[in-house]
Amino acid sequence: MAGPGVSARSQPAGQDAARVLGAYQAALAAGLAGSRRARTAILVEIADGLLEATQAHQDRGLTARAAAEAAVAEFGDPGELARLLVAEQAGAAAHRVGLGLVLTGPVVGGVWLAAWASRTGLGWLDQIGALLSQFPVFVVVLGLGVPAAVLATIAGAGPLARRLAVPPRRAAALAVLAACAAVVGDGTLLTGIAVTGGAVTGGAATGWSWPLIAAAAVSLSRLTAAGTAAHRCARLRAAS
Amino acid sequence: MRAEVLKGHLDGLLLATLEAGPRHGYAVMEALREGSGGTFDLPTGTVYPALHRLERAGLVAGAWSEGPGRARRTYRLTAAGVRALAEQRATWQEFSTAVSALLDRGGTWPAPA
Repeated sequence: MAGPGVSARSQPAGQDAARVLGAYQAALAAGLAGSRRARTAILVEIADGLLEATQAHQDRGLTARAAAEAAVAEFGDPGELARLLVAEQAGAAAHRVGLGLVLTGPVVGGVWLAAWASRTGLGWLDQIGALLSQFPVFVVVLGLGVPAAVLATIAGAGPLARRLAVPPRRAAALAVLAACAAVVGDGTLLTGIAVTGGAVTGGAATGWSWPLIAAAAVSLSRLTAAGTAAHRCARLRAAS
Repeated sequence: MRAEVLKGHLDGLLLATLEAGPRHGYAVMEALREGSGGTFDLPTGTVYPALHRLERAGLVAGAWSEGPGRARRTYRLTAAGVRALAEQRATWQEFSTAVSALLDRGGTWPAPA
C-alpha cells in the first residue's frame, strides 16, 4: 500500500512542532518529481522517520518544538534529500522503461512483419530487408534504440546495476534515448502506412487489412506509452 | 563520523542492520548509531536514499505496514542481500586483517637497505 499519509494521531504534540515538520516536508515535496503515487510514498516514509526522530528527541527531554527542530536538522537539507531520492526513482524508472521496450520490441516488430508478410508473400527475412529499404531510418532506430534499452534495463536496477555503478541519471538518459527511438520507429511505421494507404515494399497490394490494423493499433499503443515514459524519465533525470 | 568516510562500506553496514529482521528507515539509522557505539552518526537523510539504492539493486525489499497510527515502510534483506552481506563480510575480514597486520607492526619494520 502506498500509505494514507500522516494522520492527526501521528502528529507530535504541539502546533509549533507540527509547523517545523510541515515546513520540512513542504520543502522536500517541492524537490520531488515523478508520479503522484511515488511522491506520496516518499513523503509518507520521510514523515514517519521525522516523527520517529522527533519522538526520540522528546524521550531525551527536549520540548516538542526543540525535538522537531533537532529531527529536521538530523535529516539534513530537504532539497538534497529530494534530489538523492529522485535519482533513485530515475534509476528504477530507467529499468522499467528499458525492460518494457526490450520486451515489446520483438512483439511490435513481429506483428508488423506478420501483417506485411501475409500481404507480400515474402519470407520474414526478406520482409525485414524490404522494410529497411523502405524506411532506412530504422537502421538508426534499431542501432541506437536496442542497445540503449538493454543498457537502461541492466544499469537502472537489479544486481548488475550495483556492479556497473552507472549513475541513475545516465541510466535515465539511456531510457529516454531508447523510448524516443521507439517513438520515432512507431511514428515512422504509422506515418508510412497512412501515407501509402497500406502499400508496402515487396507487394502490390494496397488498402487496409485486419493484421495491418492490428499492427497499427499495437504501434500506436507503444508510441503513446514510450512517449509518456520518455517524458517521465526526462523529468526525473532533470530533477535528480 | 562523516558519511564520506564510510563510502564503500555503507551498503554492507545497512545490510548488517537488517540481518536480525525488518526495520524502518529511522530504526536502521538508530541501529547503525547504537551498534557502532555512536561512531557512525550519519545524517538520517542519507540513510533513506541508500535504502532505496539497495532496494533498486534487489538487495533489500521494502513493504508498507501500519506503524503507530500511520503508514510505515520497512525493509528486509532479500536472498541476494544475504549473499551480498556475506561477500562484504568476507572482503572486510580480509582487508582489515591485512591493514591490522601492517599498522600493528609499530617499530618492528626492518630498516631500509
